[in-house]
Amino acid sequence: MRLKKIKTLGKVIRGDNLISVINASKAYPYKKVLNSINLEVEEGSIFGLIGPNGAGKTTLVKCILDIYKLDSGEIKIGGKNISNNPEAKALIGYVADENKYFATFNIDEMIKLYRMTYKSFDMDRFNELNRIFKLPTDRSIVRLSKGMKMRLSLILNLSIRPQVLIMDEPTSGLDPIARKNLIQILLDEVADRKTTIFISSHNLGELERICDTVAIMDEGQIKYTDSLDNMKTSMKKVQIAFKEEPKIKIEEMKEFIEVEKIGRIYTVLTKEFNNQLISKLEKEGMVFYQEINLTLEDIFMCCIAKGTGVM
Amino acid sequence: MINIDSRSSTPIYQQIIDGIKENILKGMLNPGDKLPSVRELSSLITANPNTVSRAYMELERQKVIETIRGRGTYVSSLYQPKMEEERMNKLKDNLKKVIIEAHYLGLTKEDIIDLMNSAYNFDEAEENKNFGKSDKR
Repeated sequence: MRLKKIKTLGKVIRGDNLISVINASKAYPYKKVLNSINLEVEEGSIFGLIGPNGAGKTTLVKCILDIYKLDSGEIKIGGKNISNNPEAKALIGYVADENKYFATFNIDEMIKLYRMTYKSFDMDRFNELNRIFKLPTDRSIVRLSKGMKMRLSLILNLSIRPQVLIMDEPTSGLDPIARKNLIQILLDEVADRKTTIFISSHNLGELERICDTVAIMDEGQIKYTDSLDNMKTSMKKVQIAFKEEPKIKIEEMKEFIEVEKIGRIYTVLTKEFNNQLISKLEKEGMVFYQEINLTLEDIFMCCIAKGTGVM
Repeated sequence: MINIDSRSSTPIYQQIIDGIKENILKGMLNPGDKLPSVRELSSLITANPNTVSRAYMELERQKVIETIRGRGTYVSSLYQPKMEEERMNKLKDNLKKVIIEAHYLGLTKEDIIDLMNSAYNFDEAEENKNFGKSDKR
């Protein structure tokens, strides 16, 4: 596949989607876990998947990797269907939420296994990363702590020089310094190699800082997906105060997605905070308004609480 | 040199744009100075390189910075920061904060105007004193 390249400021912008999830559905005997999921992840971008426990995030990740088979729909990596496709899978690094490696192996033997599995495995890269993460390579897996296993999984999967790096809760178990190092490594990967990164995480603060695009998942569906920049420019969180209790019920105004009231001050979430709405509120006796910080957490809470797609 | 608040409702690329303009305004960056590369700045402020790149593109479009192929990105020699306008906006923002604070204290608009008037009067009184004139009020 030819990639269209436009060079600007040392960054190659490519319009292609490296991960495409098309109408993906999957059911377990007790529950429908994925319900017609559609997602596109652009090359060289960082994509964050968030959602409450049991939303189906890990199932989606495992379907993207072809560890689980879809009931219907399709998943493409670099334009190729992932199902039973070793070539496409060779492009992907996968850091799982629980790393179950062969307990009797030591780290050196794990490296051997990875070298045999991935032609692209780069031992120099492993050594470079291990200078940061400092793992004793003669230690056996069973004697590694949870955080150490996570470090091992990260180093191994970054050393295969992946085009797509898929990570399920990658910072769980890591200490604050290792977390910071990991984020730095991921940003460098994107800047230097245009690696496409897909992160499923509950750490909204971390995602908020580094993601291009975020998808909010609940009950097997994508409730909302957009670039973080768009989310923050389109939605506003505003505090409003009235001189006396307004005649109209603020809680019932269709312009507001969410309304919270403390004393005489209303805090509202809205996508329509324009002059028209301001003059409407002024007629109701609004004495002041102030835009306040809108975090990814606010957007997340609002999406999940409403149950339906807000946007 | 640039402070990024990822919790702010201002998108990060906009914060980078504002930050660089502020640095130019304060004279920390001068026309012709070299800016860090996309990779360097993204490392420095822990932000996505795509976001930094977007901010640079926008700054270039606004002719604040210019990229010389193979050499890097520089503060444009033609850029004239609109000092007055930016300072005016800052003043407006500060006033707004004061008014909100006053509102929390339970002051009405009239109270605030009274306060403002007395502040002006105070200044005038001081001035009058300096000129050796008597205070009429």
